[in-house]
Amino acid sequence: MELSQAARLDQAAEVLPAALRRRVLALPAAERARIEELRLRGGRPMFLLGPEGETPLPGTEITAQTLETVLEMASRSSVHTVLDQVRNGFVTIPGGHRLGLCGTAVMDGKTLVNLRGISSLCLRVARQFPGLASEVLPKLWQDGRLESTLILSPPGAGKTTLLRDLIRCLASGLGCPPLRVGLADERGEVAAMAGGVPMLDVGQRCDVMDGCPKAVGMAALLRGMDPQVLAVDEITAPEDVQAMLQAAGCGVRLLATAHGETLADLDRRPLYRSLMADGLFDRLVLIQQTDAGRRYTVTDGEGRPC
Amino acid sequence: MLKLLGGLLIMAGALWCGVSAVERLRRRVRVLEDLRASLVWLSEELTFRRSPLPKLLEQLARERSGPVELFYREALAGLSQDPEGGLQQSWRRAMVLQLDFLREEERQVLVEVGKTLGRYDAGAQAQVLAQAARRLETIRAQAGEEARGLGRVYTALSLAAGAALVLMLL
Repeated sequence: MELSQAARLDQAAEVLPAALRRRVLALPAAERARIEELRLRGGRPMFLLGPEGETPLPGTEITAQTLETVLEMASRSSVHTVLDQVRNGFVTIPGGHRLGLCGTAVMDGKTLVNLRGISSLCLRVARQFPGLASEVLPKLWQDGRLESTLILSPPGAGKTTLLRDLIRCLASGLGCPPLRVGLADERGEVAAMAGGVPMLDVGQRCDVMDGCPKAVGMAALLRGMDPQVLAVDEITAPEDVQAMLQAAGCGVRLLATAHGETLADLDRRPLYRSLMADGLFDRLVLIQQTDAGRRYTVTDGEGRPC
Repeated sequence: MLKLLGGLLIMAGALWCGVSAVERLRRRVRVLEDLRASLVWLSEELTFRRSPLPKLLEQLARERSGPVELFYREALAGLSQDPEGGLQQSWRRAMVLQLDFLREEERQVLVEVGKTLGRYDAGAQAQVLAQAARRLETIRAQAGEEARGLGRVYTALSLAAGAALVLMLL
């Protein structure tokens, strides 16, 4: 289902209480289309985050009750369905939008088990820009073969959006031969599955495993769906790396994203260092925010431009 | 002949009053049993599937009948119309609208369930549901005894009252 960016914001705003939702929907469509996040902080007005930064929306004072209500609506009055996500600091809502959570943590030893009081929420609108990957995609092929690729950028710079469009192109054979893509979508942000159908376009030959840790999803996809490409958003744990190594050993090409700004960032973090040392990725895509917008730089595993 | 017909009508009316009183008692037993079974089912679904509550309420409304079906349907409709109010509010409203014949003790059991549903992890919810189901089972057993005992009394009283009225009018 194709939705405009303004319509995506409207969809995300369904978790807001009626008074706040009305204020958001009353904004002009062009302005709504530019909004990337809605920021709700206790005792302050709601802020709209666009390319220029955060601007307050006057007359939208956020109370503790508002924050609780948003979480209740986001979980459809079923906290038990999102508790695992709450422990990770976010909840994915229908449409693939992400509700980031911040508040007073309830700890069990060293483990965060819940949030007692919520102090801030960040509603990030899932964005889909068909064609975004067209500039990058040709550089990911070598001798008629897709190279395993890692997308690298700071948070909020568009890793997931680029990954989604790359998957869409590969799985539909747009600008390249079609490939069977297995997507381990732990947080449900890439495909936003609902009733077995992806709400965001991930192409014709994409099989999605969601609602489970990435490593478990990747292993299940490898065993059951025989993917030619395995895609995963945000490598964060050693288990993810192990699962990717196993997949690479089976001849499957990899598409993944990670937090970082430069190649040097990969070297600084032990998890990513091991990824690069094992030569898992032959291509790196760096996303940089510039005044003119986002810039994509593709290099090989050694950092040489492609 | 007319007197005989009138007497029969009075007796039939009195008996109908008694039978409908007995039927109210029996209906309460049936509803309590249906509610208990639905809470057990909810508890199991939450434990093993962890499905969202709107989906579970929808399924309950589809699979149950009578006042219990209407109760779950009302709770679901309330949640859809006013998601800000949350499940606790729509649950309580549905109880007032569709299960108004329940007694205070039974209402309290359901109110406690409404306070818990959707607000805690699946294990805690299942625990409260299981406790509520056990409590309803006890109440249902008592209600069954009451329906049997009072049923006979109501039937006998209605017949006796009818007969007395007929004798007085003759």
